Amino acid sequence: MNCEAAIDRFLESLTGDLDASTSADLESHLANCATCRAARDGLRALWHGLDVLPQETPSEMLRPRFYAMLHAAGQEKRRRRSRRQRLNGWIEGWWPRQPIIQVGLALVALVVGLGLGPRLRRTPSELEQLRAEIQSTRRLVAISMLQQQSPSQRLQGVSFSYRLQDPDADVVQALLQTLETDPNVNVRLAAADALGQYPELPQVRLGLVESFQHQTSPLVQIALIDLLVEVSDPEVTELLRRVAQDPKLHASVRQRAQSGLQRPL
Amino acid sequence: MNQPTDDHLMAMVQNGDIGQLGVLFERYHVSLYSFFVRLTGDRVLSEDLVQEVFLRMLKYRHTYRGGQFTCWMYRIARNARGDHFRKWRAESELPEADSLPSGQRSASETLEKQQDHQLLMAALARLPHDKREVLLLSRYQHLKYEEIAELLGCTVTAVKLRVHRAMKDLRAHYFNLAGDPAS
Repeated sequence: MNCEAAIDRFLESLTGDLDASTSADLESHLANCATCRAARDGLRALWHGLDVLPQETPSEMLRPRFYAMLHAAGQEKRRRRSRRQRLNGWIEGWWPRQPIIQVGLALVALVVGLGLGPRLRRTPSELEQLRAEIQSTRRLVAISMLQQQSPSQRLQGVSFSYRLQDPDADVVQALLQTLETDPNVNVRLAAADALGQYPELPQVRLGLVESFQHQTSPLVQIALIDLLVEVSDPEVTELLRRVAQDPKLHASVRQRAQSGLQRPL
Repeated sequence: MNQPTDDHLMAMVQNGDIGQLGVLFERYHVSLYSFFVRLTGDRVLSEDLVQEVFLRMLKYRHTYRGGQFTCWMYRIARNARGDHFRKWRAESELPEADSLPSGQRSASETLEKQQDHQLLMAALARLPHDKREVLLLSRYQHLKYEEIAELLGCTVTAVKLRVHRAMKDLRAHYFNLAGDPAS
């Protein structure tokens, strides 16, 4: 075995995929080639070193989320089966025995179907209903995490809110509440960023303006100004004017408000 | 009593006993979660992706043809991850592990220390996505080279080459981070 062939076999020797004869050839080559031996030893050390990476464990929420999804799918399936059985029974009761009438009915159904089919809206599929179920679970998880003791869990709650496809009134309210009252600056900043997804919502605009009055951290104040200058609203302009002239506020906050006022809307 | 095989369980799921997906979930969710965490560095996202994989297994259960359950599952996993990044944002690099050892220690010392997983995670994070993925599939998800080749749509030789290059790069990043540029 030459060096090139030996290098090709290194990985298989580590994973135990070499047959006895090739393994013996490789060992014989390594015994005589210091370069290959050093390369294989380095690779082996790292390969086994990868064992130090611990198994990652999901949170306790994953299992209930999965079983909720499975339960919802099972219920949907039972509902569909029961509907189908009822329908089959009904059709059996009414279905004529004469083949000529069966054919006639089938043709009538075909014509009616072709006429009405395109006008009927499609009912939501099983998958869409399951997605809605997940969406609802995410909403609950986001709201519940925003109320946790630990700042990192509250931050996770904020990041969960990004996964909601549509702005939800309860989640927006929970984010506004977090922005206003959370003792941790990082969590308040993250909540402000998350609310920045919905500048078009009047509830969010008013909430951001209202919240500004209660903020003490210049970082959060600047983040709020950056969000507010994106929307055209008389209340925002009024707030920026007040902030730009308030000597009690940090100079950089006043300066940012001033820049916001000069920005063409 | 023998545990039912993955194939047997999937056959039952296909025949309408969808509760059996729970057994497959218990069997694979931790390893899938680990795969996603090491691939994306995002624990919350990884849980979402695990949930999405099992949802897709349910939806596409009729596409399972038997024989290679893990291969089918990781194909779904790769698609779920790819779809997520296409939908939400451009792919970002795995964040490097926090508080890396500042390190002038020797490589043999560091390899033996428990806290070295941070160093390895950081080295893994520096690998490009395709190399990281092939290494994870081979080293942690224990897929055979033939299975990885089928999953990635390439030859077994190409898979071996990729794993080998990934190991070489990982080794270089590892020693670089450990402060041992000579190795």
